[in-house]
Order: sequence, then C-alpha cells, then structure tokens
Amino acid sequence: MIIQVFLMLLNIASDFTTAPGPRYDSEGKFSGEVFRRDVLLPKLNEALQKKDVLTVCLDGTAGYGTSFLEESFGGLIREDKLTLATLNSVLKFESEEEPELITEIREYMTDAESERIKEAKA
Amino acid sequence: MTPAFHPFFLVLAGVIVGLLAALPLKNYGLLTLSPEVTMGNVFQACATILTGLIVAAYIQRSVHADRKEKDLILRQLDLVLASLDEFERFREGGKLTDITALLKRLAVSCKAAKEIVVFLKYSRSIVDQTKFDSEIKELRKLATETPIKKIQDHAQNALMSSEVREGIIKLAEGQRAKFDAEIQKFRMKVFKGQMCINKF
Repeated sequence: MIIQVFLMLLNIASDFTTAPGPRYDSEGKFSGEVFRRDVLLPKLNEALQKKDVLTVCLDGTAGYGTSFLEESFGGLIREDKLTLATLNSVLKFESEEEPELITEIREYMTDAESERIKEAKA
Repeated sequence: MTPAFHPFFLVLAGVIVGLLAALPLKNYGLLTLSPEVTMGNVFQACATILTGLIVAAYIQRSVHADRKEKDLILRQLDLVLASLDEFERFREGGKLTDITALLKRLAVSCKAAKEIVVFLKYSRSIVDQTKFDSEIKELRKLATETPIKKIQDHAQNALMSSEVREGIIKLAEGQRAKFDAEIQKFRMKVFKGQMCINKF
C-alpha cells in the first residue's frame, strides 16, 4: 500500500501579513486571534480532511510577539479544542531566520494542552 | 616568602643542578670544530634561514587572521549591544510592531554571531557564551506578552498585566522592573562573551 502525503504550505508573510500584531482583534490589526480564526484554522481543517501535513513558514515578517504566537497556536488547543497529538501530526514549522521560534511555539502548545487536561480533570 | 623559596636554598639548588648538568657534558670539551666550510654547509645554513623566515611569516599571517576573525565576532556582538540599547525607548511600552521588529533584529544579530563562532570552530564554552536564545525568549515575553482573556478576568493585580490598545502596548509596572533587569542581564552576557573572545 502506498501512502501519499502532500505538503500544504502556509506562509504567514504572504498569506496573512508581514507585520503580525497583538493577541486579540480588539487590541489592534493583524492579531493572532484573526490569524488563527481566518487563516490557520481553515487551512488546518483542510489538511486534516486530506490527511496532509501543513507547513507553516514563519520567515519574511517584521517579527512576532509572544501573544501573537501563543494565541495563534496555543489558541488552537484552548479555543478550538484540538489536541496536541492532532496538531503534532498535522503541523510542521519552518524558519531560517528565527529557528528558536519553533521551540517557543511548541512550548505554547504544550502549555495549552496541560491547561486543557487540568481543566478536564477539574 | 615561604622558607622553601628562601634565596639561600635557591642558590644552593642552582649550584647542585649546575654540577649535575655538567657531569654528562664534560667529555664534549674534547670536541673540535673544523675550520673548513663546505658548500653543503652554506646551503644548509641558507635553507635553515629560509625555513625560519617562512615559519615567521606563516605565524605572523596566522596571528593577523586570528585578530581579523576576533574583530568580526566582536563587531557582530557590538550590533547585539546596539539593539539592546534601542530597547531603552520601549521601557514603558510602545508600538507593538516596532518592538517585535527590534526583537527580530536582535535575534538575527545573535544568530549571526553564533554562526560565525561555530564556523570558526571556537571552543564549546565560547559558543555557549554567544548563545542568547533564552535571553531573547525572556525579553520577547516581557516586552510583548499580554494575558489570555479568562486569566485577565481573574487577575487579582492589574499591575502585573500589560495591555494593548490600537497596536500600542503599555507595559505593566511589575513588568518594567523585570524588563530592565533582563536587558541588563543580557548586556552582561554579551560583555562576558566579548571578554572570552578577546582572551582566546
């Protein structure tokens, strides 16, 4: 049996903005909340449906704040109720300019998962 | 001075070492030097001098290259310090995208410094001294993190939460002191890195 995996690419700089902003839409333009809701989640659902891998490219922007990254990726677990295992199987990251951001994003997702588990137990 | 290094003992030790060294050499007094110098001797002397000159030139060039490499790393670390100085403008907050842009410039400068050090095969300890990932992460957190809504709703102390309005972040009082301390800590690490490279 041959399993075909297609790579879907989401480039934040070209598909969303070169100047990522704050956490929430109410705080300013190009927020993590808008990115997650309008760009990331639809692409992620498409990748899940097609059993593809979604590669998120972080390069080409002016820079990221902690809140934008946490809301975008941690928010997938906290707000959209996806699990860390699902995200790990479908999401990949690439960054030549700031590779340490990938570790940070993974930490935010792990923290959100811990919170989710804690809340579920409570 | 401790008794072991008293001048008398030092002189005595010198005399004993001198006598012992002279024992195996006393027979060489019978050696005579030939007054004739052959062409081979001349050629040998020239070759020795030439080799000496080549070695000296090589060492000089090597030292010069080392200095240039060090200067390159030190210049790169100066760029890191310049970016850190720019953060002074944002001690109370500012336009979020300006802060994130500065953070990116800082991260790129740090990455370049580390890459040069790794490329030039400096020791592990120097590579560690020019690795600033955790400092950048902490600075990013202090300068750009705002709370999640449900946490904010339950926050007892608003002093601990920064807030953003129309893309402008205002750092919470509690964050400002931490932000200053983190910048100072970062600077010290860069200075230490520069000192290590200078000593190497």
